[in-house]
Amino acid sequence: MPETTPWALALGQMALLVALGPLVTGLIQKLKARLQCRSGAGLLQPYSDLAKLFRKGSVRADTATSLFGAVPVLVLAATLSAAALVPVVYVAPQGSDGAVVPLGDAILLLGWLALGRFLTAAGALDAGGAFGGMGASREMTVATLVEPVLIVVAFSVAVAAGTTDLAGIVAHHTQGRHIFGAPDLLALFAMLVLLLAETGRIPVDNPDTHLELTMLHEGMLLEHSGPGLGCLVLAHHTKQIVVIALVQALFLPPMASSLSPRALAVAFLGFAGLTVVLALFLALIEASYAKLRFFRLPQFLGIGFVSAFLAAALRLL
Amino acid sequence: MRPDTGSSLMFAAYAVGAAAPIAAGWSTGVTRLLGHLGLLTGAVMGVWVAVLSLTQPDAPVVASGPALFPFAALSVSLDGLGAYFLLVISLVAVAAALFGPAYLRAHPTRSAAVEVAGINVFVASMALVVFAHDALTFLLAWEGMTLASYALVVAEGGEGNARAGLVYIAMAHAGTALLMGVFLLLVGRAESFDFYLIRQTAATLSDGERTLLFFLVLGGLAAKAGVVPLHVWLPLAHPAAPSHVSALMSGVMLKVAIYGVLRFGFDLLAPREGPLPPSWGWTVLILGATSSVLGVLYALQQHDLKRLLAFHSVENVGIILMGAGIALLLCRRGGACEVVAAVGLAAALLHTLNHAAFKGLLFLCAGSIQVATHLLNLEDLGGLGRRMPWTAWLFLLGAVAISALPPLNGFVSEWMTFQALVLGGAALKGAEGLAAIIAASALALTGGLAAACFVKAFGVTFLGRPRSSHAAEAVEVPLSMRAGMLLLAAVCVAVGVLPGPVLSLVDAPVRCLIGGPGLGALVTVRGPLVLSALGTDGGVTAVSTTAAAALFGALAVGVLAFVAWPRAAGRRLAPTWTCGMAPDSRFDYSATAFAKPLRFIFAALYQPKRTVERDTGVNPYVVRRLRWEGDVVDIAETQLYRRLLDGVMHVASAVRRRSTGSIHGYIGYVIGTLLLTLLAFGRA
Amino acid sequence: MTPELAARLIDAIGAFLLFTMIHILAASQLYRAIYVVAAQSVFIALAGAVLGAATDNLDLWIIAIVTLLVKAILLPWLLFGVVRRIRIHREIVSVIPITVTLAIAGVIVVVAFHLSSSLGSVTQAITGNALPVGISLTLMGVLVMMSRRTALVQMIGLFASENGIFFTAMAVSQGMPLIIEIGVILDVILGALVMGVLVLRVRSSIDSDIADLDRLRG
Repeated sequence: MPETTPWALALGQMALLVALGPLVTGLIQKLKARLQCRSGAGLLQPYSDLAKLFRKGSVRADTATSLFGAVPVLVLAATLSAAALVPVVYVAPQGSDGAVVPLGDAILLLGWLALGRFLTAAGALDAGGAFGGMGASREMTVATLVEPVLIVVAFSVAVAAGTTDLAGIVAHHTQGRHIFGAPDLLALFAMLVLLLAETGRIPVDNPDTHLELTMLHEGMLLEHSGPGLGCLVLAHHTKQIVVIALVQALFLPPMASSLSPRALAVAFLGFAGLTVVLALFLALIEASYAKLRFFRLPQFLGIGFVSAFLAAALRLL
Repeated sequence: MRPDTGSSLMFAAYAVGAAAPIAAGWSTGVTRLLGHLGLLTGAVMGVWVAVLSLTQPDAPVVASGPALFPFAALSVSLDGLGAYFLLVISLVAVAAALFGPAYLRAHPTRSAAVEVAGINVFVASMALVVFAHDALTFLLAWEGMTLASYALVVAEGGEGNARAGLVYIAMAHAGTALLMGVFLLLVGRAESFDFYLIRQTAATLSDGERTLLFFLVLGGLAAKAGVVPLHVWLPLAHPAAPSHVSALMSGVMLKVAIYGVLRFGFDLLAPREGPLPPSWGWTVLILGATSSVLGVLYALQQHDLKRLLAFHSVENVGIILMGAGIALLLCRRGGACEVVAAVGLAAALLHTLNHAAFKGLLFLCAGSIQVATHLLNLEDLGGLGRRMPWTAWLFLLGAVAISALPPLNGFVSEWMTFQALVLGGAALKGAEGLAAIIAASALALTGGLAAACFVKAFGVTFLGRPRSSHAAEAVEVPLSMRAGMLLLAAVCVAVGVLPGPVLSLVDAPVRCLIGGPGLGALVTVRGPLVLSALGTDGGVTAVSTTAAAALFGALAVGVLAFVAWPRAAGRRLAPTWTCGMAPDSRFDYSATAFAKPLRFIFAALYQPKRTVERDTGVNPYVVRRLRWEGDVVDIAETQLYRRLLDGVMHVASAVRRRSTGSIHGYIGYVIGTLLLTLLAFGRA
Repeated sequence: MTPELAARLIDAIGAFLLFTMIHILAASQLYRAIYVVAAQSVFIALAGAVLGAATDNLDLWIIAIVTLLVKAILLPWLLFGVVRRIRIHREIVSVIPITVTLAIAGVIVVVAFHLSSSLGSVTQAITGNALPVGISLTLMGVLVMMSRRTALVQMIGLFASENGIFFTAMAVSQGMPLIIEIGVILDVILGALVMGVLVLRVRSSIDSDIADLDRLRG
């Protein structure tokens, strides 16, 4: 069924990313624990946490509006829609008019992630109190600084590939038309800086804290509970693996050349291997550095912006 | 009905509406109703005429008016570009007409006659500007637009509004003077007021003259469009007018200035063949990028809801100019550049419509808040979401749309602008291409800042606890006001989820301005549900917001079913934890606090000042009262306008010292000037 | 090693050099700046080795090893010693804000790449885009010297400039003659020693502020 196969592929890769998201978080936590000479929780701990949250009842603030209940649903839906856009192991051959099922390109992916962030921040202000407001304010500030860098990275790769469609970029890489040169290296460095910002890890944000002055993302989740919190936590895991998959798709995509089980298995091993490398990178940074003071973040993200700018300059000049 | 009959009916309806005070002078209620009924009928006719002209371009509207002056006859004609802008004007006018009566009943101005006549003349003049086919009609309609809106800005009375009106009319007339100057130069060369003859003459101008005229006209139109640094009247005038008039001013009047830029740039001043001078495109692109970033930065620090929305209009005009700029740069250069120019122009035109829709919606929501609480300062509101659910959800829709988030309309036009910039960058190559990529990063920065600003505006107004008794007693607004808002919200959703049919409407103006195969073969080549952008080296990017929205909807329903499934543990309500103290509105994050991190990061542009006064009792560690005062400076106002005004006042007082006060001296001046004029011009 | 492979490797090393330069410009701590400039010198040594392998030039191998020993190990060790001995503030104070410095750096790179297209006849194909990278590295090293207050950081800027000069020379003529290279490295060692003596002797101030030298006006 040639018309439904691309849909099935997109939804299948989305399901794969959602299923593996918590595992990647568990892996990062385990690696961090080992680096800090502790044994840490098991690799499958995030799954148990999610199962627990989905079973529990929920407590809602008495000042909250109907938006508060809608936010977790919409945020998870937006993040899942973003997950459907990233090619993981296989890219359907492109027609002459672009992707067969044009679900979206890199800009739409960034748009869905931005929608998730917007709604989470709006919901954080709903219960009142200072924790949510502080987290929302800081998270939106970091988002403002991160978006230009992401766009310049995406566009410096898109200028080489001729399209902003992720499947098209991946096809450009795998068909050997692309030479991995200095612009790609600089864009990769910028993307690694952004990986830390988008996944909310040290030195941008501390995912393990609950002190109001050190929370960015956690502050926005504080008032949610039960299944709503479970949805937001799952959305966070999914966003992390989506950004990791995006890094791979833009620079080193491990794609299968056909739908045969052997090729898919090899591609999946490649994806898993690169994910483990990136997870190790994140864990190393988390274990080695302290969280940056909030007003130092513009300089840190400035390094990313200049790298991305140089990547675009080297590409075009 | 044919379009020309329709347009006559449209103007007739506006005339009836404007004459309503005469007809029903004894009762404000009847005046208001009749006037807004005229406006509604005219606007609906306008939408109908515009859609007909855009979908059936072979039924043009051309008419010559009466020869009121011996040297010029007024003529009107509606081509693709004019029809598209007529659609934008009429759409927001319909919503304003629905919203107006109930709003004005709750929040009346000094005179119902001015309200009604003013708004009808305002909308009719804007429609006449896009119909104009000769310089005189254009200028008369332009002036009518300015005067009618001035009357509406000062309608509510009060010193603040009077000052706002003064600044507005001074800057508007400065712009009109530039426009008049350019027109007179062209008319003098062409020896006729008609656009057709002006176009013929302009085709023979030298490049230098052409560029000079374009920059003069850009200056005049930029003042009207609210481009930085000529934007200082916007945040004063738009909040002063009644909310539905603000919606029209922000959503539509600025677009009439954009219409002027497009008309002059692509049509009237363009050379007959060959590419446009690159300085035009670069100037417009850089002005657009600066306006968008500075506009949203200033919007972030505002706490008056209408002032915040007015600054966002500056930002969105900048985004429209970015698309227009890349189109000016790349049009008529052949091959792939033509495609990119078409995409850029389509993006600019689509954003015109989108901005009119979501800005109109947001201003009408602000009007609803004004009616319900009589307050507009964010720091006095709060908790309105539970008391005004319709307004809250509609404002959220407008906020998501203006932040360019999928699946609404703001995302579609911003996607197209991004595609135009990145494909333009790839086509231009070299340092120019890099500049296009930097403009794209400025656009991304704008989107992020707008999202932050609207989380603040929505959250502080509608969520949390009410910060004043007015906010605690707010009531939802009547159905007619909600109808106006719902109409614009429906447009936002429709354009976002089904952009294809709307792009077929954009086809006519794009073809009218830059020719070529039209959008049907470029952006909607794969049918109405998919947007495509064709790259320079054959790459194609295709996005279907319909499919994406459908996927999002399906996933949302699925997740909702999972979450809403009743669980054994149940649900309960509890007060928010505020460290053991009784929850109060003072614990909620305020708007000033929300914007602080960005105020700190961009301090070089804001130059914020703050003073803190502490009132301590006998014990210096116990603070009895704390007063915080902060201020953010508009950099254009201090660096540019203060100095300019100081200079002008200096010269004026120097001249004043010279005035003798005696009548003989003044008669002497008159004789001297007459002699000089005779000498200078008598020789020809 | 084929010339194409050498060109690609040198291109990649150029990217690493630019990235380390950005880190030096944006560094807010002395230790980090010293580590990064040591890493940069390692990359320069690597570039020298690659070019030496591709052209079978023994001089380049010698330079690579000397750079590695002196600029990647000896001089950073010296600087760490000075920092530990004097216990100065670890924070780097700058004359202009870091965001402005980064913006200027971006402009420098764009100008260097724009110019290199007109200087194209001077470069060799085997070194890829080493010329613009070398020019921008040199200028950015001077930018570090211009925008920082303490002598230690200005020394780091000098090291980075020297790396840039070496890279540029590599692009134009397969490295300068051995004698000149040794001479430059000796000058750098001398500069570091003089700076070390100066900083250690001037203990009255917390950090030796070069800006205070303007009090020596007549």
